[in-house]
Amino acid sequence: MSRKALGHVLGPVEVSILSKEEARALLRRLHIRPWQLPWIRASDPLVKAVGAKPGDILKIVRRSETAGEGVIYRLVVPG
Amino acid sequence: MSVAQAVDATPLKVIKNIKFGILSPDLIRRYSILEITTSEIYDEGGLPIRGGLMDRRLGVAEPGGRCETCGQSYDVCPGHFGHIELAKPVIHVEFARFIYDVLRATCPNCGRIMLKDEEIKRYSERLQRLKGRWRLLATNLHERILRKAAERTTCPHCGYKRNKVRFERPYNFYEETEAGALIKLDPEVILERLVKVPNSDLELLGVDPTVARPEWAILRALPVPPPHVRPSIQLETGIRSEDDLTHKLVDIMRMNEKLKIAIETGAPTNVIDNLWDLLQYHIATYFDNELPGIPLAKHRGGRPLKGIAQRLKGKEGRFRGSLSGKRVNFSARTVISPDPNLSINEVGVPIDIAKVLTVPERVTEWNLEDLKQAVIRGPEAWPGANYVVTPEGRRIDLRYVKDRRALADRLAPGWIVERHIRDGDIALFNRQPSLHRVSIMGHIVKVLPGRTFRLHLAVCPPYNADFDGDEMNLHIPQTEEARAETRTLMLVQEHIVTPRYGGAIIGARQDFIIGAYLLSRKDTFLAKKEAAYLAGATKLDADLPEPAILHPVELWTGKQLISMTLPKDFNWVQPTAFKSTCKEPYTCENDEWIIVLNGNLLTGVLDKKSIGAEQVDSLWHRIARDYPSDVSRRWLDSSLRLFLRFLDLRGFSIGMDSLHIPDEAKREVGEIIEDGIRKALELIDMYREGRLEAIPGYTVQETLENRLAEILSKVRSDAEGVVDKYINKSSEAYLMAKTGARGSLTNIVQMVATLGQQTIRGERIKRGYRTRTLPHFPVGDIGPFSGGFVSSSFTTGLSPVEYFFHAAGGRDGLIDTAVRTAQSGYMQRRIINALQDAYVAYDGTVRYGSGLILQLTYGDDGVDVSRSDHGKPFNLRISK
Repeated sequence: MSRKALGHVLGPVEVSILSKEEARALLRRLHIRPWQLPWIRASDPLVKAVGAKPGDILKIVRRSETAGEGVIYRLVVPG
Repeated sequence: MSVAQAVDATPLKVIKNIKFGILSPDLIRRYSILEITTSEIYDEGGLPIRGGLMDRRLGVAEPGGRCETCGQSYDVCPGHFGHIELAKPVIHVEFARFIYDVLRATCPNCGRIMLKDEEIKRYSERLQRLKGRWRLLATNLHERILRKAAERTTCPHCGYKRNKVRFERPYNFYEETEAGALIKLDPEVILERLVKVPNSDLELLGVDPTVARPEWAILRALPVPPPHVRPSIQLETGIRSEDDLTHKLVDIMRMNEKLKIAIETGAPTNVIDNLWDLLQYHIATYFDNELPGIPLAKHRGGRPLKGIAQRLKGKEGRFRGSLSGKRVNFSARTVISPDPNLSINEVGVPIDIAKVLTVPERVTEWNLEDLKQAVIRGPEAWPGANYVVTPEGRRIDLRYVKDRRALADRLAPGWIVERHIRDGDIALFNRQPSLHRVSIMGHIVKVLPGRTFRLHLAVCPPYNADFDGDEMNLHIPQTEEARAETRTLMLVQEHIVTPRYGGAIIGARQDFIIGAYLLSRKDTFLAKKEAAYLAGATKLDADLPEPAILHPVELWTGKQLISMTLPKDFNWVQPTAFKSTCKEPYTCENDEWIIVLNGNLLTGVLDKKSIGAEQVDSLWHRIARDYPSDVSRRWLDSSLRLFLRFLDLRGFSIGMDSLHIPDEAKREVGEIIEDGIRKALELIDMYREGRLEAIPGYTVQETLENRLAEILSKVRSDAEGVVDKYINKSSEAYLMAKTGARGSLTNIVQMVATLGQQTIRGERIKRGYRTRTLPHFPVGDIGPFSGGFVSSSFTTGLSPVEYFFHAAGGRDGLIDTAVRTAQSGYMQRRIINALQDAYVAYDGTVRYGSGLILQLTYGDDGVDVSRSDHGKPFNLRISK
């Protein structure tokens, strides 16, 4: 699909799919189950651009007004 | 409250999930203690009829009676449900939509869902997968399945070709034949169809058939709530008045009886149908009397009856009115008025209120005598007491104790006295709307004569209070914990710095600022008497310094007095609002820079920029941030009293002479106005002749309006320049504007030069007659004057036409504020409801009630804004 979602000035700085180990470590660090992360739809252009599938966890680095860069993890959900 | 009392033996249970279903007719009958068989309630003797709506077996809602089912009194027995057997089934309005969905999705002939077997298989597998983890997505799929099934006209299972079902709100169903005719589906027909739908097909539609069979959505038996839900009121005249629900149930019973008789006597179908429809109407309005499309059910008096839905809905409904909102004791409300002699921490409480509000104080050896005296003074004399609680827990109302002295003698450690509030007690003070946390703060009580609450003017901004009739509420914390929390967390001095951005929200304003400016001026000298008087106003324990001038008389400067209040280790440099010639603080000789050295105000005048609220990097901001809250509070208290007392001594007033400008200035202003009008007229001529070129993206008219607005607003800003140049720099109006005490240069210009353009919704005034704004103008006039340009000033006076435009602009402003507050209020309500479960966890993440993560670090940077310096983190080493 289109890669337009990536590299746009208004879009996130970096998007990557967490590996199994990284994901497990993240969930352990936050003491949460996957569904407690913010969700992102599989139909989202960003998800399509990186080719993530439902169940994957995305690491999204965005520009932040307060901190320069902010990191958020999102769980890809079907739909 | 003792610790022992707080222990609760109730086993702790956690709600894991809640499931909503439909009450089946079978369950309704099984829950029922009796069937209601008559519409009569009472016999001639006024006793409830057996089998009527107030049958004693349903329970008794008034004291004295005994429930005939369980034998308990009214405060123990919660009542028992009965039921009405309906002569014919009736649709439950609240489930009409659900019935419609099921009818649309299923075959009227075989009852199967209108999907092919392979579709059913595919969908149910998909649902099975989603059910475990993606509940939300399953709901979406149910909706898609419904739409798909509803589209089909031929049943894939039995081949039946069905007609389209039409649903007419609130409770009528029709079938549309191919010819286009509508056939009414009565509840019995619908019931037949719904019964046929198999459980497995319902699951595809998101219905759990074990708790919600669709045919249960059609009422065959109606539950009758016990009298406790619909208590009757005994009026003083002895007449009984029944609850709205009872009235409605009587209507339902009457209709039901009529219908039953009609069926038994074999009345014609149209008669039966009419009665049936009426029964449907009564039952529908029993549930909800605000249904769209049907008339309101009314009392004989014309007052609409309250349905069950009306009891729950809206602001005064069960949820918002009774559960989320509660009424409290130990509170008071009255008008507020100002008192600059109080501390910002204090609140003035009228004696009359202090005699009603109480604090429970436990008697000890040390307060025994004091409380004895309070008990003796009793409820009428302040500071007395209203109640005494014995160690056995008996409450004695002092209003009815004949010999209070004797009671006071019995007082001993272990007793509790509910004494009147006194100076030094702690209270919560609140003004609605409580939009942010500083809308409720802790204040220290100061009992005063009069009938109003008194508060310090500097605490008006957090409450957004003024004294044009505002009322505020006072609450007295009743437990030691609550009092401690109020004192340490909620006291006003702990909220000088707002959590919004870490700046002071409380500070000097208006009179304080002008007073501070005048006192700090270079030419302010005070004789010993005055200096001592002002030093006294600070209520500080300090001596007057050595006078600045010793001979021929001792004179102190205002700066010396201000320096007395400042902390001794305070150093600060900042420009004042008067900064114009000096670029550098240490060489400036005209007080344009503030220099504070070791708590001594060496140069500079005080103004809004240095001591006002919400000023970045100001003298007051530094004091509020760098010193403990009680130090900054004390500084504000004493310095504000000082400024005000000086202003009292000196006097300050504004008159026509403050608004004097030389004739030369008037001429210049006149020229500017004429020039602007000429330019505007030229522009209009260009427009009329079609020579005006449109700015890209605008029409010619819009271009004209934009250019006119530009020209006419320039008139006012140019006039501002002239006024600023010529006005007497020591005039009161100018000083107030410059120091930031009150008003701005614009206000002065409107008084001495010109009002300028009046606007409605940000545009020139255009409304009025068809081709002109007022009949005073020629037809088709779009010139500056007919568009609301006012060339007069308040000193010269406005012409009637100008006055009208000014009033129109003013009214527009008022409406705008009213609309904005209503809109933002609702917005606030919704955002608070949405965010009330969000919290910052100990690991710095922002989470929601269910543990959902909203942010990995609060605000991405983890900064607590209320501890920051105007939003910026300080003395913080960022390690990466």
